[in-house]
Amino acid sequence: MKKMFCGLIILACLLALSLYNASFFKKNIEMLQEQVLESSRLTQGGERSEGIEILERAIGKWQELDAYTRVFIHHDSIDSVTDAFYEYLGALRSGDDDDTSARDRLMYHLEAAAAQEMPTMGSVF
Amino acid sequence: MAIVFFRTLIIFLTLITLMRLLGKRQLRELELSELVVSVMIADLGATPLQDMGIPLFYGLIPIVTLFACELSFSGLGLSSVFFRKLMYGTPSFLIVNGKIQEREMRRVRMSVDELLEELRGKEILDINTVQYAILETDGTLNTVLMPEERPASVAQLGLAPEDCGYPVILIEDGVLLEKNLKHVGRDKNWLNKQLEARNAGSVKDVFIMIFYDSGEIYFSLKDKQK
Repeated sequence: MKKMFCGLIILACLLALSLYNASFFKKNIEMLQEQVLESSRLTQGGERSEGIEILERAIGKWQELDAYTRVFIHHDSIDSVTDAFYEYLGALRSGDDDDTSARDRLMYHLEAAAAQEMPTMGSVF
Repeated sequence: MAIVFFRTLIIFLTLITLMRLLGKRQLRELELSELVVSVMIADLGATPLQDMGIPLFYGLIPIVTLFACELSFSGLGLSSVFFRKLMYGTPSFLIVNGKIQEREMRRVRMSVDELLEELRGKEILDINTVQYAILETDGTLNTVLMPEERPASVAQLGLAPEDCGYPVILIEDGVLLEKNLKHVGRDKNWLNKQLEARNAGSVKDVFIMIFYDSGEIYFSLKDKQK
């Protein structure tokens, strides 16, 4: 009986931790997405340097998360997000008028990384 | 992490269901949940090792999940008769009083040839001598012979055999097992006398020394000491 309860407790802990992990990661990704959109809004409104500054802050935050993401997320996805961040930063710095495609790509990769952790019918099956 | 957890649970339950439907003959001495866990764990452990881009947690979470499932399932099996029957089924009587049970044979999908092969493995050639042949829930076939075919026990023969008792190893490959020496109620003085009587210079010269409850001793020197 003790072993059975141990098993059930371990399962409950795993479930709780994995759901907490999913919501923690989603919250962080949403925060990064907000920063990216804010950066895009500022840039399009003519405040390019402020936009770049906010994006750099978002990149800093993403890099801070690296120790955590490397443990839980496929490394390919992490690298894709990092590449997309720098691609968008490069587009903003170069004053490229068509920086929205780089932004959209970054948003897509962030969304995909978050989806990797969120248990839905689609992701589970 | 959550996805890996849910996927592991789903695969575990699916495998349990399918293996249960396949029947107990597939198991061979493992309980159903043990077999499923054994089949899955080997592969899961290797996945993060083969691809460095996959976090180790993708291997660890399913393994811990399976471990917890196995603990829970075996615990549930012990505490609930209904769950145990549902998970592991019940033993199948394939032969009753020397007669093969066709319906049961069909149910467990075992041919007569296979049954005969299993019986031959138990040195049984005549089905008429078998009172019961039972396919257990772990897939092993156990047989009970007709009363007149069963080997006579010592008591039935009216004999009084010598009981050498339980063997306790005192020296193993030149190492004295002091706990065992104490357990049999002897001391080093007694041991030294025994060694002397058997021409052993020290404990290191002895390959094996076993003490039986009856007081008998099995003794063997190391090859180079002989």
